[in-house]
Formats: sequence, structure tokens, C-alpha cells
Amino acid sequence: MAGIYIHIPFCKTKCHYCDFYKTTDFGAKVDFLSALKKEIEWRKSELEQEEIASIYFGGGTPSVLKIAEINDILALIDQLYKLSTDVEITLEANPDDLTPEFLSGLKTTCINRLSIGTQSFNDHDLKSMNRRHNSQQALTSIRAAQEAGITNISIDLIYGLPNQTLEDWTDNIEKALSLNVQHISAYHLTYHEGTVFYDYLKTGKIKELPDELSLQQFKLLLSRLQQAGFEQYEISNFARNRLYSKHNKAYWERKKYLGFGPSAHSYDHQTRRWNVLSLKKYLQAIETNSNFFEQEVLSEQDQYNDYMITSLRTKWGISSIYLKENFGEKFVEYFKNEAEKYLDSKHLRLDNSCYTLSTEGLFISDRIMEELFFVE
Amino acid sequence: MNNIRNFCIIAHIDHGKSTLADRLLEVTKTVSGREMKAQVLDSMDLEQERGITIKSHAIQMDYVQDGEKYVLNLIDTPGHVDFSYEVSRSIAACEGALLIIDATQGIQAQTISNLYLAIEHDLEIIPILNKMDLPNAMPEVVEDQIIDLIGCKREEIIRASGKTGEGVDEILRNIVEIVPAPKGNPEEPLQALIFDSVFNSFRGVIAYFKIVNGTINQGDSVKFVNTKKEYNADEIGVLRLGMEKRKTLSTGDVGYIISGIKTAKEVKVGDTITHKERPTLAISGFEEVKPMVFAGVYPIDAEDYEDLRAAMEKLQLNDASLTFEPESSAALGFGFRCGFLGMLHMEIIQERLDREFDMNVITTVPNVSYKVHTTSGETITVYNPSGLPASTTIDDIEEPYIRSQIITKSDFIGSVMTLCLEKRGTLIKQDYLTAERAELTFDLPLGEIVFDFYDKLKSISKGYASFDYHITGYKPAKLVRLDILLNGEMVDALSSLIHFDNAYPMGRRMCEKLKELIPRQQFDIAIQAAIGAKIIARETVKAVRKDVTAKCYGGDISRKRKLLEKQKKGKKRMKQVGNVEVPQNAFLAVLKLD
Repeated sequence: MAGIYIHIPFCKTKCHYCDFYKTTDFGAKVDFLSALKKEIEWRKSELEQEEIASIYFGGGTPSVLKIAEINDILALIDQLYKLSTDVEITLEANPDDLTPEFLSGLKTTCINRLSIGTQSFNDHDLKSMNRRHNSQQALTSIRAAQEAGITNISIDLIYGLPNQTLEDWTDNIEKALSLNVQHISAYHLTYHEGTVFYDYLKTGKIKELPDELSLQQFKLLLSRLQQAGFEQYEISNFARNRLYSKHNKAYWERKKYLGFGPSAHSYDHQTRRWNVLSLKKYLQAIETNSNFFEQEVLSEQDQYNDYMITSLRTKWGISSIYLKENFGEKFVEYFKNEAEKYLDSKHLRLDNSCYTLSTEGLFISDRIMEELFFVE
Repeated sequence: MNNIRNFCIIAHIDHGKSTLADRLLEVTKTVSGREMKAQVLDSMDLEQERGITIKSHAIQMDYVQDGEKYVLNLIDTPGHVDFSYEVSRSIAACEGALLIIDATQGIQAQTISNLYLAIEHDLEIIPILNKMDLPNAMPEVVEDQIIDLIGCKREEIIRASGKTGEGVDEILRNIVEIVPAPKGNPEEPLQALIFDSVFNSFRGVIAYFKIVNGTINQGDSVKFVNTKKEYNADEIGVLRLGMEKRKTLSTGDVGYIISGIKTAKEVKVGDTITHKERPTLAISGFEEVKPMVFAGVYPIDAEDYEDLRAAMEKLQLNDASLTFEPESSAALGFGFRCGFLGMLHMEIIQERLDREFDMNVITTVPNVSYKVHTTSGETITVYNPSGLPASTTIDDIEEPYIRSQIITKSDFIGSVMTLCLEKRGTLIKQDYLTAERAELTFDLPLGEIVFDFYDKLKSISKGYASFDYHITGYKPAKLVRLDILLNGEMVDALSSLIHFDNAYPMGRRMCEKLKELIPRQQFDIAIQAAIGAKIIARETVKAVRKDVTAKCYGGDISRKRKLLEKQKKGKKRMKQVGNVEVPQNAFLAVLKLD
């Protein structure tokens, strides 16, 4: 089983927190689509033996595509790759793109999951993040998608915003819960270099939320979503009725994936590769049939460390059986020793030979992963 | 002998000594254009980067004037206060000195003290205004300073530029006409002054000397008067761009000797070379160079202890002024207590350990040596705060003092005075060199200088003040040991000996600084300063409550792995003290107090 990721690098405006590769210049959109199709075609042999369990349109803003363009891409993939019968096909969408026309059009595609970039139901938050929609559109877009018959909907929320109070966040969570979506991804704001928020932070225009407050918001999120029947299956991801994001879950389970489009990453157990981070260079490279990606070959140490950061994020955790089967003695021993400290401090739990983060451990998961890392 | 001219250059760092020296080499065709690597005299990488000459060298030039052939020996001098003894020996080997002053900056403290040394040794001084090509040169003002200082005539000052070559011919003419030929008698017993030495991994130690009296031949049996060691002069020669062998060298000549000496320690700058069979007395002015600043040097990784020892031994082969002995610290494990000539010397050693030996070390807060008189009447020398006996057994403590010259723009006199008084200085005298520039003489405890004196002096004077000093002796002081505790555990490597009056503010600032430098960990960390059992300051580093990455999808995994690996490597470079991880720079925290 494997996944396919398609990066649509266009956005009408840039959000202040976002560090994904994107451009607001739509001039090359047609060229991009034809280059993308070439890449999809060229790389088909890489997954010849594998059944595709998920396809994910990410960005950028994939909802800037026309229905016909989406259908074209999917038809090509269907023709060249072997899709599983219950393939999950997700489209990331901006609330303001979810017009009645677009939604009814979507029904003609094989898209069966929507990930809506709601981010907040608060006008002030939305404005500060430079989102294009307002709180009203945030609500109506989700309802409209549901009414259009899309049954698997995920929404994104951001918390830990500068000046965001616990009340603001509670209000956001309650609004989200009132909508009966199947899946919520709730991200604490991260200040990425190159974003407007990062510059604001560095120049003192905004201040990071104090640790205590952001921790309170996180805790509130966990308890409120749990009450409402959501299962936290990854640090920032919550699902009802086991409607996990198959595609994202595959990343954490280190299943193979192909990433198409500029900046997209691919993984095949032995290597990780990433396409160039520039639309222009991507188009040139595809045009001239030259190299459009860089890659790293994963050593055993890399693979072990990858296993730490991916699996510990999930509710399924690190399996000592998997460790023994896949890594040499020195890694297994090292892990046991390091993990012991965190079992003692109750940051880790051990059940059925699986190590998982306790709630307290979740809050400092990066630190724990770092400790578990093997660095020669 | 009448056609030999031995001279040195007196200049402040950055006043263009090396560039001007390069010009002399070029014009006398000592170095061809092809060989002309900028600043030939500074051959060590580190020297070129820092733009200063750490070890002195010498170079011989041929020069023809009015049909007469002359041999000019330029003896290069190190330009830093830490090496003032070496400077004095180089000066003693010369009959003349080029006094190079930057026309844009004027006279600096360093220049003055070296100039006085030169005058003491009866050297003829040739004043030169350098960097005349720069638009901000102020020749008249700086000439006034020079005239005030050495009492020369304005027309005797040569205006020059190492960059354009202006004035270089005139300098050469002056060297021949003004600098006297060396005196001495070739027939007398051999008496040669060692003014420097270098270590060569194939040839052993090469000593540089100037013959004051007598003659030396290759193969002679020689004796070093002060060390009383005897050698065979396997090879002698002169220093051109490289070494050139000679059979005989005579009075007035500057040359080198190779005699199978293995370690730099055997060759002491200032020592006298004489013949075994026909010995003479030592040339006066010899001193054993004593380290003045001490610090612990510890490997980050305990396993590297033996490698560190090997590296130190190698460094000592060509740097006899470095001393070290094993030391252990509860916080840092096994390492060495090292003695340095001064702060710059310490920095250089640290950098050489890193560059030449790839040794990652922690250097502790430097201190000076103290004389402790105990109640039982003993006197012990303490090189390390932890070596201080229990306070009940101490009768009194003495610390080394220096006399320092500071030259500053008059605008900054107030702040310089405040700084020196803060550092327990006593003003000895204050002279105005010109209306805008003053020379302050202060007596200061050396222990105050090794903290953050240089940096502060530079910053309060906007980089203009210059500083020079020499040791004057020991004076009693009311000193206490300030200890630092992390989570209740004393960190011996952070202890310092300081004056009682400064202990409280110092303790507070240390705690504040450490709070900045110690990263947050999984638990609260109490940082305390104490004198004896008494806690005088406290800060807390709050535990990390939240350390979690919001998203980690397909494109984030590589980056995140690399980030965490890097952090982990960073932590490996930290030192575990009790349960607290302390970064290397925290051990020098006391040096960086605001």
C-alpha cells in the first residue's frame, strides 16, 4: 500500500503563518498542470507493485483548480497506477472556494474527503492570519459541503495565536464541535522562518503566547474533543468513528509515498527525496528532462530516528517488536535504556510491548524524541 | 660589520606594520612578486587572520646605496601586551627602530611603551607616518603628537604608505644613514643574544640570535649561558625568505642556529649563546617568562583527556611560555590547569587546540596567582580558586598588581576613570599628549584585568582607547571565594576569587547571566551564588512545560529529524553537572557580565 501526494503551489494570497511552498502568480498554472502530468507519468514505475490507498491534493490551495483539471489529474493517475477499491482521495480546500458550483462539481469527481482550511471561527483571528474568509464563511462553507453530500470532512484549526485567550479558543472548539465534522486537525501556531508571523515575532510586533497559556489551550482541546467522542490518534489530529486520515497516517507508519509537484516529498523506505522548491525550476527541469529533486539515502540510524519521530506522534506508538525486527541490537538496547527514564517519569507508557506518550509526555514530545534519537 | 643595520618596527596593531614591511622586502628584492604573499612576516594562519604577529621573526635584506652594499636585518616584534618580554629582547638585538604611526589614528598606548623600551636600549628612532593614502589621514595632528613624544623635528618624520609605496625609499635611506652599525668586537669571546625561537617538526628548535661580540662557525661547541646546556652548532645561517646556511657568522650578524634541541623549553628568549671553550658572561636583561593568567582546560568528552595532553605537549614544543599541569574538577572531570602570558595568549592557545588538534575544550574562568599567608606562617601560591585553603586558616592574601598606561580621546577620560576605579584601580598620573588625547596611568589588580576589562575599555571608548601594562608586584587584598551552586550542588569550575566589596553584585550578575545561558530543562534549576555557607543571590531556570511540533507530514520528516539530531549533538557538547546540562560558554559566564 502506498500514497500519492500532489502539491498545487498556487494561492490567491499568502497567509501569515504558512511556510508551504506557494506562489500567488497564477501565470504558469497551465504549464504547471502539464508538467505535473509528465511527472506523474514518468514516475509510474516507482510504485508499479503497490496498490494506492490514498491520494492527497495539498498546497498551496488545491481548490483553485477547476473541476475538469482535478478530473484530468485523477484520470491520469487511475490510468497509470493501481488504485485500491477504497482509495481515500482528499482535497484541501479554502472556505471561500467552496461555492455551490464548485461543490456540486466535486460530486462528479472521485474526491471523497475534504480538508477545509477553516483555521478559526473568529473574525479577528482570521484577519490577523491574513485568511481570505471571515467567520461566517467558515461556518457556511462546512455546512454547504455537508449539504452537497460530502460525508468525510476534516477541518483545520489553529491555536496558540498571539493574544488568543482561553475563551476565544473555547469558542472556536465549540463551534467546530457543533458542526458534526468527522475529523479535526488542530495545530498550535509555529513561527516558521520566512513567514510574516516570524518576522513580526523577530521585530517585536507580536509576542509568542506564554508556555502556560498555550499548554492550557492544548489541554482544553484534548479534554473537550475527547468528551465529544473524538479520538486523538496523533499529536494534532482527532477523528470520530476511526475516520483517520488514511493518507497522513501512512506518513507516520512509514508507508511509501510519491509526491508530485514542486517541493513535494517522496519516500520509499530507503530514500527520501524532495522536488525543487521553486515552480520555475520545476517547470524548467521537467521541460528539459533534467533532475528536479534532491534525495538522501537513509542509513540505519536515519531510519531508526525517523521511526522515533513518526511513530511516537501517534496513539499506536513505538513497538518493541517492530524495533527488534527492523533494527540492530545496538539500537534496540539504546532505545530501551533511554525509554526507561521516561517510563519512570511517566512521560511514556508501555502496554502490549508498545511505548506511547502519556498526556504529560505529549507536551514535551520533541524533547523525548530527541532523547530517544541515536546520534553517533 | 660597518654595513650591517639591525632594526625593528614599533607599531600598534593595525597601524600597517606588516604591509610596510612587505614593501621593504619588495623594494630590496628580498621577495619576488611571485612569492609576495600579502604580509610575508605573519606566516601562521592564525596570525594572518588576526592581523597581528604572535611570534617574532627576522628577515635579512640586501640594499645598495650610493654604490655601497648594505645588509639590513629587520627583526619583527609581536604587537601585543602579553608578549612584552619578547618585544624587549627583540629591541635589545637592534640599533634602530622604525616608529610607525597610523596617520588616521595617532599614537596608541602599546606604541608608547615599546617606544620607551627602544629608547632605554639607545635605539635610533625613525618616525614614520603610515597610511598617508587614506583620505582621513591627519598628518599635521599626528606629527605634533610624534614631535611631543620623541622631540624630533617635523621634517624628520617620513610620510609613507604601505599600500602605495610612498616613502619607502626614504625609509631605506634613513635606515642606512641614521641607524648606527652594530658595535662589538669579532675577536672577543662569542656572545649572542637569543631573541626568539621557533619549533620545526623536522629540525627541532631553531633559535634566532644576534651576535653582540665574537664569531660563530658551523660545528662549534656552544653553551647557553642561563640554561647551562651545551650543544653542537649543527647548522648556522641567516634568515632570508627561508633559512640560508652559512659557515661563519660574526659580530652584528643576525642568524639562526640548529643544534638538535627537542623542546622549546630549552631555548629561553634572552639567553646568551657562547662558546663552550671560551665562555663569556650572560647578556643582561634575561628573565624567566612567567605565566600570569591561569585557567582550567578540560576536554568536553572525558575520553579525550589523553589526546588533550598530547596536544598540549605538542603546543608546548613551540610555545615555551605555555605551562600546564593535571588538575581535576568535580564538575568537569580531568583536565589541566594552564598558565598563559595573558588573555590573548589564552585565546590563541584555545584556538590552536581547536584548529590544529580538533580538540573541543571547556576553558574555565581565568584567574591570576595569589599568595596566601596562612595562620601557621606558611606562604602558598594559589593558582585556582578551589586551591584556596579554608578561610579560618588564612591570615592574609596578596594579589598581583600591574601598572597600566591607557591612551584615550579626552572625551572618554571620565568613563575610563570610572571603569578603572570600579576595577579597584588607583590613578597614578594623567598627562595630555595633545588637547584631544590623554595618557592615564593606573595601578590595577591584574585579577580585575583578566575578567572583562579589555572588552569594556574598548566599548566605552568606542574602540579607540589603547592599553598596556607591566607587572609591578603583589599587594594584600580582601578576597573571598564566590561559589556557584546548581540545584544545590557546588560547581567548582564556576568558583572565582574576587574582592569582598564586589562579591554581592558579582554573585547577582553571575546568577542572572547563568540563567540566560543555561537552557531550560525538564525540571526547575536553582542557580545560587554563595560565599562559604551563605547564599547571596539566586535565580531559577524554569522547567520546559511544552516542547512539541504541531505538524509532521511527509515533507516535514527529514527536516525534523535533522533538527533534532542537531539539537542532540549540541547537548552532547554540554557538560552534565549533577543532573543539569550546562553549555560550554556558561563556564566563561563571568567574563561576559554586562
